[in-house]
Amino acid sequence: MKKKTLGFTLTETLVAIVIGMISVAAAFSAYNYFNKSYASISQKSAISKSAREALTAIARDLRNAGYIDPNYVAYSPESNRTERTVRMNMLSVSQKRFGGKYGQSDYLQLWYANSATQSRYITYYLRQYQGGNSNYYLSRSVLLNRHHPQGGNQLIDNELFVPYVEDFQVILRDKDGKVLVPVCSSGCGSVEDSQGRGNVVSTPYGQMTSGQANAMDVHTAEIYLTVRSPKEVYSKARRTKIQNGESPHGSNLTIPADKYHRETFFVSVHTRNLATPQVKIASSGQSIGVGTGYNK
Amino acid sequence: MEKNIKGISILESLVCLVIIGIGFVAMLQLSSFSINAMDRSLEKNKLNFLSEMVLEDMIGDPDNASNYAFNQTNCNYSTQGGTELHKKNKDKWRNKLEEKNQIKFEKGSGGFKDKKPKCVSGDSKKTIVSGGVGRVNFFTGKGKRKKYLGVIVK
Repeated sequence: MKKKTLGFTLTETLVAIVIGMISVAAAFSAYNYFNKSYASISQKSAISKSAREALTAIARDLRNAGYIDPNYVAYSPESNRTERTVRMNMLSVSQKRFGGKYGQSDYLQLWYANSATQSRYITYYLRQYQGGNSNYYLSRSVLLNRHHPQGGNQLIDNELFVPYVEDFQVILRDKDGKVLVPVCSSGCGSVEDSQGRGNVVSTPYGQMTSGQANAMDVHTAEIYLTVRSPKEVYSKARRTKIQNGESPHGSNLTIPADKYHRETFFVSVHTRNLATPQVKIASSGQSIGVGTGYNK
Repeated sequence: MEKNIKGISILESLVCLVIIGIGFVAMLQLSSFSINAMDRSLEKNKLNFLSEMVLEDMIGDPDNASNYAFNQTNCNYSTQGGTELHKKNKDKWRNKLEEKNQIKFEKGSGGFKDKKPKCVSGDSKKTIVSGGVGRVNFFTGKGKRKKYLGVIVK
């Protein structure tokens, strides 16, 4: 009977080990690569989704700002409210440089009456996470019937609208494309004070402060939203500069080196219910001006 | 009794490795494709807002809508100045379409580089205004990806 050789030779075993190790190394590096790609994709996707939804909602609110439903009736206890007091509160960047992680983000408030019995007062600003988290989110609050004698009904209270927002800038322009400041109805900050927001001016509706009167001249609102990825994406830390809007009205930040991904989203909205209406009367060809019942 | 050899030959195992390797390469390409798809999606998303900006500017200045024709066929966006609203708005489009100054990343020793959207030969950004209708035609990805949008301005 012939001798029967069973098992591997040493050479075969060594070759098998080498090939096996190469395969394991390839599998490991591929896993690492896929893992990093997945993390990067999911972070970017999260940023894109939240920013897209938020900007769409902000743009819709800004288009509505100042709209007064033709059948809107103020509550009887507030019968002393005149068109002047309604109009002075329609849009307000109450405080430039209000806060946020880098202290340069804005505070936006707007008002519109969307039905005969309901008005909405909407507020956007950056708010810090709770529990010692140093980051900020864009918060949205909706107050129904703000001027109701019982103080209105808080429909949405500081909803987390966009997570991890690093900058929120609102730049308002008049019909000539010039930056319009100050635009604030109440609770104005030091920036607005330095811009003379308290100066009394005459309007077709009576006397207002310049901060209140300017709201009626807003033609375009530009919104900048810089969002950061919730988790680190890059393998190497690097510094980032963010500049949203022109100096001195916008922001100018230098963020210390980190590994996060950042994107800035921008939308520009024609505030059609605030600006001098561009609608023309078909018969005469004349423009309908402010104060001639455009909204009412 | 004949010698009975069982198991796989070196040739078979090498073929097997090559097949597995091809599988790996395919997976890597899939991954890089998905990353690119996400980047494209982000850019499309931004482009949607920018096209909205363009149309909003036209709607906001309907008496001068005819001045809002715009044609940018290369990637060198340079502002042209002017005091009229339509000129200011078109300069705004140029700045926003190339995300000028918005985000800068540190690159090399202390220097910063603009984060700009991809722009390659064949890309173009165009608006057409005629008969009170404003249209936006944005082409990206060497002109392969098209974004059309239109509104009645007046």
